[in-house]
Amino acid sequence: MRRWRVQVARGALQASIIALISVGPWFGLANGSICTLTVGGITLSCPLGFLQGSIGANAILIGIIGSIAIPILIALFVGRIFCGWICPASLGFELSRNLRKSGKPTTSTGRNPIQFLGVVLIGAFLASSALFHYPFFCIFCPVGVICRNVISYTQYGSLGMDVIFIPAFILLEAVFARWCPEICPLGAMTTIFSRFNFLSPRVNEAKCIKCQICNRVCPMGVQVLEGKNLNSCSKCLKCSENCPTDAIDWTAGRKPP
Amino acid sequence: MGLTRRSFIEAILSGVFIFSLSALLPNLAREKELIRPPGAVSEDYFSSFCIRCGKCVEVCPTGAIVFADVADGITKVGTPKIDVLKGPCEAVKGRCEGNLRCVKQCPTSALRYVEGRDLKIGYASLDEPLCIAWTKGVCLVCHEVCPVPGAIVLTEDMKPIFKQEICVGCGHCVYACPAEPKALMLLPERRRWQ
Repeated sequence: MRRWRVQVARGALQASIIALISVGPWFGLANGSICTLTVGGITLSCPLGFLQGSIGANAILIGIIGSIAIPILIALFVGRIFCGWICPASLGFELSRNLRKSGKPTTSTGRNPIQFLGVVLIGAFLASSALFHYPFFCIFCPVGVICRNVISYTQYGSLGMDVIFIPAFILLEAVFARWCPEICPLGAMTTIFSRFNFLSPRVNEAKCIKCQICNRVCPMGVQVLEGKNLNSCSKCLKCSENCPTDAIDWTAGRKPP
Repeated sequence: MGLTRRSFIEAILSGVFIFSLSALLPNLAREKELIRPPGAVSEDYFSSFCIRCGKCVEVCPTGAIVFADVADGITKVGTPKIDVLKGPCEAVKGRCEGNLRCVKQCPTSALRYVEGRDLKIGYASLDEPLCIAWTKGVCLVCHEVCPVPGAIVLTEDMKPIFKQEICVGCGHCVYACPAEPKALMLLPERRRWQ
């Protein structure tokens, strides 16, 4: 049955986080961007930014060492929920990937089961920080670019030149369709931490008609039917919403028996 | 399902590509020297310490802090810089004295608490051929807005002289300068490692 309710909820949450970042400071509700966000007295920071900064500065950024703990805990227990529900670029990426994939039953994951590519890229970015002393990924990180331009637009009414990265990414994604599942270092890092991943789609064999729709709609390349690559699941619930027989259950628990 | 040879080679090549790109890009164009918010660590480390969250941009009461752009140098994109055309910095003898909001908000100590002379962020430099007082008539605007005694002294016939050592670089004079184009500009002060 094709339903949209969860996808609308995801879009609404992402939009409200962007709204919080843009007008939050005026009302004292929030301060900062997703890179380091203070909301309601709690500060959350990007673990990849922390790593790049610490390696580049030859010093541990003590100020945010506590605030990377919550994102890491979230990743440990619910995996890439950030990618599905918070990342302001995710819906744009999914739409442009769908442009290419329409009708084609492709899963990218067969090629790359352990996100080897993303892990190698994290290594390259960290090596670059160590040698050249600047966080290269942060320069064009889609999350960072969107947040910075939202802040600059609301604070002083102009966009930076780096805003050009957003259409560039969308175009690249329409051609290669691999960013979120395979390339994004932020996502790869979350997948590394996604160890316990208590929330995963589980196929109810009694109802399943093996139509493969779940595998096809998954934006992260999870093979729902086979129960493979579940660490990459972003909890977007597209598989359950598109399943014609409602055969996908979301019960908390480690792995399908 | 293991890793195929093709995806292994592809990943290694992508890593090498990213690494080379990060080495190459900063050398394509000369990086600008920026005026940083008060208390910024030395420029050698600033790009690493700053997580580019924009908190300082949001809290600056005069709107003087903006994000550095691609034109300022690829390693500096998203870091804060002071644009005196948007507003002056009030860290010295201004609203922020003793209460540096940008420094307080900085989560990574890229901006640190400093006092006295360490607050110097730059200095104003006068282009006399553009200055109203030096060329056509009477103008005392820079002298009147300057919060630092002795930074701008007047000659006997009321022309301003800027003292680079005394000036803290707050930018009040640049912001207020009525000449078109502005006769003043703010130059950055090289900071030492703190």
